[in-house]
Amino acid sequence: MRKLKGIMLIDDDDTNNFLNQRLLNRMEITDKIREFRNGKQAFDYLYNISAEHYDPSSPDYFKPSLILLDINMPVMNGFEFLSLFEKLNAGFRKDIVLALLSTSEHSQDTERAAASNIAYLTKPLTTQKMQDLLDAYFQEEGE
Amino acid sequence: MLLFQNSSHSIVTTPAEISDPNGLVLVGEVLVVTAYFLVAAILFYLALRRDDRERKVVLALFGVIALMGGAVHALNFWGSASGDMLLTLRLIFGVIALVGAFLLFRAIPAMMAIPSQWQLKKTNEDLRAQVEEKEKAQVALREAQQELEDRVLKRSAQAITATRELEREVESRKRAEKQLISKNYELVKKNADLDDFVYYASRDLKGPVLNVTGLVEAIREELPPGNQELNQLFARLDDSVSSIHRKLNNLAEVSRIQRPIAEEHLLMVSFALVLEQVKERLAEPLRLSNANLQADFSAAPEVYFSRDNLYSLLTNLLSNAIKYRDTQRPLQISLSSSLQDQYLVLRVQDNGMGMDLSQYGQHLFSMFRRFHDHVEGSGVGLYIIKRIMDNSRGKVEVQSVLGEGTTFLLYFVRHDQQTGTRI
Repeated sequence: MRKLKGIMLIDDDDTNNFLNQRLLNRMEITDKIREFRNGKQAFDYLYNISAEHYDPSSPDYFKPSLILLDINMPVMNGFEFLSLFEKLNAGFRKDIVLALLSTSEHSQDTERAAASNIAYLTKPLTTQKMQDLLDAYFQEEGE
Repeated sequence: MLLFQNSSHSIVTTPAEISDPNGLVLVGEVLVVTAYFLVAAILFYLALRRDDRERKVVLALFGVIALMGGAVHALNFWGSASGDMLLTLRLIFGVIALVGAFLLFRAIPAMMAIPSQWQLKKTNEDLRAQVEEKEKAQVALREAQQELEDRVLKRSAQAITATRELEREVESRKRAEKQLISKNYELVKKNADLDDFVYYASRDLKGPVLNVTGLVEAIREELPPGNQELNQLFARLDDSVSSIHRKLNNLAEVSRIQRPIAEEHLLMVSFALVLEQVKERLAEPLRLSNANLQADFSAAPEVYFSRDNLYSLLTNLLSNAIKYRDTQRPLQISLSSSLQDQYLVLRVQDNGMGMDLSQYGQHLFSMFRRFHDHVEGSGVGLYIIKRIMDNSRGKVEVQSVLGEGTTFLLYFVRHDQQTGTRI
């Protein structure tokens, strides 16, 4: 399976980011993973990428193929990030897969995810859940 | 009588007297005449003063007779003119005297009826005694009346006091009621706050607990395998962490079902669809218990309900059926829906261990009550089912036979008969 170009982890829980990054590293899905502590930091980063306000030679800047997004976060939560993200250039967005990652199984949250046509995963993230997600969204890219 | 004696005497003696008058006879005659006239005057006076007519006449008549007696004497004495005229006068007087005697005779009964002084006195005394008695009675009556009036006044005063007291009582009750209502409102609010607190606390604790699970797993992966002692410790650590996790989930669930459901989250929910999601969630235990699950929702495929709550109901019912299955036979679970009067009834039947409802029935739906210890459980599953059904004005019934199985009947209020908002 081909590696993903990059993954963004957006979660205010540092340990959760650490564990998810460890899991992804061990699965060897990608070489580039960046962590963000809230929606605003992540959106500012993405906006700069979309507007090409970055140094392409820097390894710290990359356009992700997958974003794992927590819902409850300070400053800007997952859904606020989502609505801003949907205002970005459609061409820029089309090869980015977004997945909500949350502890809650509320129909409120799952329905909202379904309305935006994005994946919804419950914590903890496992190899199995990650593999299912890849199978569902990156099948055609692999191979 | 006196008159006749006098007159006859006069008639007999007159010629002699006339012929031979002397001073002593004169004085006597004058006195007699005077006495006659006085008697006549007294009788007339009495006749005038009497107020009963009959006696008046009698007395007057006697007066006339006395007058006539006097006149006869006077005439005898002064014996003026002719003896003829005197004779005529005597005749007239005699007739009048006879009439008087007749009238007197007629008057006998009336005269007899005239009470004597003594009788009158006695009667008078009797009357006075009667009057006194009457007065006494009157006084007693007045006293009684007064007492009655006093009593009425007192009663009225008592009644007024009682009414005032009652009014005061009503006032204070009203105040108490108001306080109760406001206290109740406060309590409801505090309860809701508490539910919110538990809900958010349990939700926020989930993340760290999941992190611990992940970290334990990571440590296990980093450590060299094959250490028996470490494996034992990890097994216990896993148990503890998953127990915390399960309890947090229950807390979150119990507090969640107490929160009011927004109108937009009530909709027609498909039993089959939610059952599919529950089967996904319980895929592992269903597979391990080798359960045969049959569902027929054709009679009533949908219910107007919160999707989360229906999910919770089915999850708890199915996991109960799995937990308390009879390991001697393959687990059969059958689900069906039907319409029954104002209810839509969901029936979930299993062939598990069953239970003795006469022993446990009353505590069956209580929180944290558990009747088995051979499997893991927290004792909130049935409580959650009951709460969800109660909160939506439905009900839950259970039938069970020890060693044969258990059937849960969930009664949902049918939406087409229920236009009000649902809790």
